Amino acid sequence: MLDLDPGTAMVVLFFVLLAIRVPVAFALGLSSLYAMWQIGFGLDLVGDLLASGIAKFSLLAIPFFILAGALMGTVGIAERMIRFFRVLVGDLPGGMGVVGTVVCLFWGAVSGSGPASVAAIGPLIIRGMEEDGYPRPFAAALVCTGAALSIVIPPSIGLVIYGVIAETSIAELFIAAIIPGLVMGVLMIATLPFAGKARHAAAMAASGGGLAALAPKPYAGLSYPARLGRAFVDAFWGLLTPVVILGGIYAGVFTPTEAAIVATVYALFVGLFIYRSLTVRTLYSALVEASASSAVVMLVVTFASLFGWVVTVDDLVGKYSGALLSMSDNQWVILAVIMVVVLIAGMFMDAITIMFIALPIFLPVVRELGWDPVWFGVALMVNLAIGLFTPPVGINLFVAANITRMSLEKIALGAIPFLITSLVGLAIIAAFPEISHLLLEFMR
Amino acid sequence: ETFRLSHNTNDTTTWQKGAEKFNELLEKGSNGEMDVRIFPNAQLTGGDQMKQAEMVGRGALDFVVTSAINVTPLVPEMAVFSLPYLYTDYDDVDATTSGKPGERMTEILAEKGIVVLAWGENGFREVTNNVHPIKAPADLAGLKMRVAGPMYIDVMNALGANPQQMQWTETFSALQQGVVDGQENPIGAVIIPQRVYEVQKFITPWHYSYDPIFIGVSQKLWDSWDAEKQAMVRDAAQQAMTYQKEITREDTAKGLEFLKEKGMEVYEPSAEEIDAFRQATKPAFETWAEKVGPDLVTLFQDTIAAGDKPAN
Amino acid sequence: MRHLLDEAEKIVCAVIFLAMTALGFVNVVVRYLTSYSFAATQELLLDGFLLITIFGAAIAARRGEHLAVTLVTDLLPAAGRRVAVAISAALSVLLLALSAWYTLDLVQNQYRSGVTSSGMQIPEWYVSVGLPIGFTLIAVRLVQAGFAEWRQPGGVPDDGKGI
Ligand code: NA
Ligand code: NA
Repeated sequence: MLDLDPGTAMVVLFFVLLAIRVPVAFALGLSSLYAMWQIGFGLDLVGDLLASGIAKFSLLAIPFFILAGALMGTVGIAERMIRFFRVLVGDLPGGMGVVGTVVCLFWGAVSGSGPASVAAIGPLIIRGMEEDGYPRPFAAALVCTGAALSIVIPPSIGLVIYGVIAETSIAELFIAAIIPGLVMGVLMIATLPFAGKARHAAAMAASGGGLAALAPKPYAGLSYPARLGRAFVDAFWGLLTPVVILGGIYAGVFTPTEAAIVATVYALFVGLFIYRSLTVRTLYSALVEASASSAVVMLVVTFASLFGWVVTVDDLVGKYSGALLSMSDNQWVILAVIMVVVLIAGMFMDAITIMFIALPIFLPVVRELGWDPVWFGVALMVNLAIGLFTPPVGINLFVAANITRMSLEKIALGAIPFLITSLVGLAIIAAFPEISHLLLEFMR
Repeated sequence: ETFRLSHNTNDTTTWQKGAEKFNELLEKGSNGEMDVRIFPNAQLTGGDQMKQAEMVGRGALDFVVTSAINVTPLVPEMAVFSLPYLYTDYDDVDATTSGKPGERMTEILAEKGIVVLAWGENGFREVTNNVHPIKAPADLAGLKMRVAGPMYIDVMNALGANPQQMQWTETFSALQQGVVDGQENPIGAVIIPQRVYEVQKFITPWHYSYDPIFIGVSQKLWDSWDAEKQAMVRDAAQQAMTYQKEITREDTAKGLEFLKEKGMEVYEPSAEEIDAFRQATKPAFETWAEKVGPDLVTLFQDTIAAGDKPAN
Repeated sequence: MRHLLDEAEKIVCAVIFLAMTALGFVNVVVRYLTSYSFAATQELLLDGFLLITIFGAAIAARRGEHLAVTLVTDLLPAAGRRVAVAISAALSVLLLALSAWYTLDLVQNQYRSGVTSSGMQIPEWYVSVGLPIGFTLIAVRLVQAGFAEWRQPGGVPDDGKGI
């Protein structure tokens, strides 16, 4: 293929295959196999790589949070929970968009995985935003963006892995990431006017802060405190979910991955014994749907592991970033280059793979320039969170496309406004280490 | 010619430094004709540390630097090294790796297509926890301990602890939040580089189990070389592992001081206290000695006993 | 029988997924309340994860849910789109066949070397044998879905019933 090195040829072939509508997972697999054949090494490892790529422990939370999400939707937990936030902050300009953002941040403190969060809270936020007048792709994009913050706001699987690779305090990383996570949330709310046709507070107040789908019990005519109280009582079991999960994690009852299992059992429990809305049929269908949704994501991850292998062996990141890093002595330029390399890598690979490939290249630079590894880790994590919703490989987009039955590119286009504000956020967090240090200093 | 060397720790460890030394010596010995490219973190096997040795065995990878514990799924006999309290000190270890037991293990690995070139060191595994200092077996009663494999489950059960198998990525937050109370790992290889001291209060260097590393090369590649080249490669590997063992022992010795500075409470048990642990773990020793083969265990024990006798 | 064949992977997924949930939860409860634990939990969960991924992927293949980019092919006339669909389906089946082949090779290697799992110490191939079977099944479902679409070409369904 022309005169390209195998790694570059792989990337080109990948795009060609995507263009003729080969599914993302298979396009990754085919282009990687081609590159391995070109390199003349690795084809006899394919079986091993597929076997280890298909079921990674660090991703075990995904199927469970997807199942928990499906069940919380089926039994009515998520609906009541979102209705509460709707009454709480839904009257603000931006309405359901603000509600969606707040729910995403709230859920980020429960889940450590972006795609799992999309699955858990995505369907209801999107439905609510649509009824509030937001275009569906914009709503889906908001969820993709907000759920990506699950890897920034603690607990975060990504920060744990960064802490281990960079030999940096994970506890400090967790604390340092809280304010940057909130900054990103504020920027998401600032993105809402770009939706174009969102309805505003007046219209919602007229409907009593309740939508057809989200308010079977009319709260119309009640005062704000009374509405809030009613909504709280209705949503009690849903609002208890993060309490159970976070409480369980921080009290040392279970690990963040096990939390996904506990969330599933909690949804089953509420559905069977409290709301009594779960039947054998709906349970079976939730199990099947969650298996399929999780498999769609995991198959991409599986074949992406072949892709990541070629990137490693062909030293693709090293080749390109080496050239970029040698361009300047100015540390701001170097930082910008690193961030751009990670953004580009984030288009193709998952956060964990990127860290394993790129950190051995970047960390020596971080040390040499005397940068604070905690701040660098937080900025990196915000960057990797953006990668969760940038095409062509954006796991959050995949889950959202799967649950909304919308095409990938429609949601990706909807995500452009969020991408722009997220990049602004990334620039702010990267340029002002003080933001990451604020809470740490306060606690000292 | 550039060969591929895979190991399963990150690029700041003594494993990496040993591998780099090997590369340096190989280049020098072959007048620049041979070198290795080092892949840390088991990158070549998609992060799967167990698979590296198997792939070297069938010639899919050239060189591997890995530890005995990582190879036991493929070669169950490798568990012999980590039998509880088989060893007391470094002299015992060196007597076996440089003597008949090392040769015997080399033969066993050769059956799997792996030529062992030299033995290095991961280290003695020491116990940490958050509840209280561990001075006697009774101190472990009821503690939830994260362990790495099935033998350690039996050992912890023998000590009255409650062993938990858990992925390393989950262990850090599990220790932090108290999902588990403690863990056991080598100081130089894990406790310091993985910052376990951030989330653990007490450490007892009880030397209960040992883990060696080795440089292995695929039999296929080995057989393709003439005797002279083989000797050169083996020599490079042995020098590299000698160096690796040296820096690992230095790091470990300095490690306890470092952990004290970081606020850990160190309890160094006396010989009698160690013996209490040895007695308590006997049942697990017996079970696993049976599994890895009594003859092999006897060979190790005899070599250690012979080394402990004063020289005549 | 026909129904059962069509539902096979759904039943497999539902049963395994429910069992995984129960196992994982019981492990948490037992660890918290007693001094016992199941050493094999983590390994069984990962085995289950592997199986629900591979069989879940077959469910998704049957329904044409594997994510693809339709931006370019949507610009083509119907005939061109058909050709693209045929080529992409053929390439997908090729990849799945190769995947089945390579994972079968893996199973044979594991069988020969006798490598065992680290937790339960059962032969590794007991679980990985699901891989070549699963990749083959995904290919079969993909072909079934491909024929269905050949008769009625279209992009990813955007019927608004997704949520
Ligand atoms: Na989180
Ligand atoms: Na991306």
